Amino acid sequence: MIILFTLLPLITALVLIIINKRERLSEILSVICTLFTFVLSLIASAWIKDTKIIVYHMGGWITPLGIDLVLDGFSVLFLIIINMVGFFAVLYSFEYIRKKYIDINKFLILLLFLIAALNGVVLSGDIFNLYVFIEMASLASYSLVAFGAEREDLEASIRYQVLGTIGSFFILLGIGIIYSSTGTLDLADMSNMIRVTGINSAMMFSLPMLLFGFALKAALVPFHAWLPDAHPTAPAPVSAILSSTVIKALSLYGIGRIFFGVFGMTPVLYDILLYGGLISVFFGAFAALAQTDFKRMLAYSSISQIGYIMLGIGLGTPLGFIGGLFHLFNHATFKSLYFLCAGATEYSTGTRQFSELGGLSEKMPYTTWSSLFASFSLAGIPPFNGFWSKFIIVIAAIQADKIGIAILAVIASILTLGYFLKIQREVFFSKLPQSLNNIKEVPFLMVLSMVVLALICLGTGLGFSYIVNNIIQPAADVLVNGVNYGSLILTK
Amino acid sequence: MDRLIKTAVGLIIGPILVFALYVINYGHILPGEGFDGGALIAAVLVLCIIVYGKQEVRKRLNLSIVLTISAISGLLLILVGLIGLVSKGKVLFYNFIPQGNIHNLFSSGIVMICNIILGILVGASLYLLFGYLVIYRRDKE
Amino acid sequence: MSIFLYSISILLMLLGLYCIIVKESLIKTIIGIKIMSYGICLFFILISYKIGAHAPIITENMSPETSFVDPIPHALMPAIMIIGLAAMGLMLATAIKLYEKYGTFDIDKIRQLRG
Repeated sequence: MIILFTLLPLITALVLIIINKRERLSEILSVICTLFTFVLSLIASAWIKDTKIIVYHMGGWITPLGIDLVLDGFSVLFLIIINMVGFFAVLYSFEYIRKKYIDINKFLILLLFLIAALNGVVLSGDIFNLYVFIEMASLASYSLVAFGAEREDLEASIRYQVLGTIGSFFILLGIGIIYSSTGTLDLADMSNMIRVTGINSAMMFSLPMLLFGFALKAALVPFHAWLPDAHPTAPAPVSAILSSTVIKALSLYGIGRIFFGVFGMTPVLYDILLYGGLISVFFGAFAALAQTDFKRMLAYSSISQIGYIMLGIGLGTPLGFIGGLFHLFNHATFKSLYFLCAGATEYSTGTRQFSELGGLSEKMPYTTWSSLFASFSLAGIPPFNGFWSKFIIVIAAIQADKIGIAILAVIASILTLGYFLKIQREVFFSKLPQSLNNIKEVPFLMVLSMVVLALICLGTGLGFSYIVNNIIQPAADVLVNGVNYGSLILTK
Repeated sequence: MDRLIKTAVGLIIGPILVFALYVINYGHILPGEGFDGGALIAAVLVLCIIVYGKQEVRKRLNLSIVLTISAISGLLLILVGLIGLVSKGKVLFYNFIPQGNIHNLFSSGIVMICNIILGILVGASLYLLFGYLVIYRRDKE
Repeated sequence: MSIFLYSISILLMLLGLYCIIVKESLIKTIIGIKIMSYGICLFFILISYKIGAHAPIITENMSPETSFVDPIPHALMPAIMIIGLAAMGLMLATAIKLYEKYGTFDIDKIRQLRG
């Protein structure tokens, strides 16, 4: 059953290539497909409650000889995020793409390939399979960023392409060095072999190669140069899925599997993640305060929040893992909601600059309320879900005797409050300029996807103990379990 | 292009295509499988476009038909895997065709069918990549 | 001898990286990406070699104790090269449209987005 996550969007995309011109049929097929995978991913968290890992051997070959698909708690967390944001992006894109870009068939084909490849990344049990699906997702997202074919879209896309290809080459070099030292491509077998023989100096050389490759895909601070150009110029559903799932599933999942599962984490690696995250948090927060473009400010805010996730995981304690992974889940919900609201304002008014916007709360009530919910989650105000995840990270930092990190995290949270207040004041709550007097609310499907995501933000905040116990705790258990990942699979 | 080049290329396309099909079909015994053979097929078609001009080749191999062929062969590959799912082994890509001796052509069951489908898929896709770049025309704005 | 061959493949990778970073024109950047890709493919093939071993094809009349070169990287390389080909095709298509919009291939002049 877990092969359906990859196969079903792939079959739908291939069918959509054959039926070329009928748009209603392709819309209905894609909505059915993404809704089915979304519901299946919610059910998947119930499958792994008793048996911790489900392994699917393709072709009937047992583990060291064949290719496996592995589903455990860490994968289920990413599957829920990918399919949820994918479903809302598909629902939102019917009206949005039809107005601005007109050709919705090609857009849905590329989006379905992206969702299939991201599902394949988090389900693979083989390191070369992981690389092929990372490349497939990267190629689909390069095309989606350049979808509008204006001057800025193409420039952002070529910068993203060159940097992303260099990152893929570093990952491939790391895979080559690991393969030459251990002689197998399977993650579980590799993990067992490193327990027996230890890490020699050739494998030590592959660690920075893999770290550079994953950091280029995740936009950590020295390697972030493509992100603030790629997010504003892409269409709004693509920005939502890029910011909330692609930059996490391609890199944080890889770090979680390869560094925690195969190599084993040392205090030096924890410190690299911790201080890299801290630099990202402050750089993103300071740069976001100086922007004048709506979506560019949200892109710098994404850099800052990815730094928070790295900070939570880099603390090294089980409570820190829970805080970091819960913030990963929350950031997916509120950042995708914020990008969809920004797309809605661009749909109605035609501009993204703060100097030309203002006072939209009287004309577009649903968009205003959705963006208020997203802002409160982003800043960390109590009943919403952002508060709980930042609170857990601060408590975990105090428990690990790093009081300085906790104080810096609270200061960065105050800076986050600063820039979201700037957005709300400039865009929604000041005086309506003369040129925007006859704008209307956005169509029904876009409003539906924004409102349901806002209710998910509020619901996750109110019922956070249920979410933490059932979804986040199995994922954190996988990270705590670390290098026993291999022995758990080889017994099945 | 010169008449000499057109005649020479026209004589050599046939043997290269036969060699590509040989590489695809004997992929489980000799080196090279679907990927290599597909790249060879695409190389032959690109050579035709360069030497004979895009009008001649597009009259015979319309680009939208080749797009449909590549999508259908992708679906066929998934179908072969799903047949393995409903047969004896209950996993994807199970080898349900009986396997013969080690050096015959029809040994190792499902690998040969997958090689042929993969060759058509890769050849069609790489030809489409070159074909769409060639027929691109600037917007007159 | 093997140190010499490995250093050739590392030299190809570094040459490709130099082309990507230093050169001004976009087409030279794309050529640099291809050179770096070939360097990594050469590295994979060099890993699989064993001294005094046979090519990994079973022919007739072979004794049961012949040693073979590792066949897995030879089977992975066509897949990696075709993925690189698809990525390069996408980059070339983007470069053609960029030339049409900006009028130049110079990456210092294609800089409309700030920061």
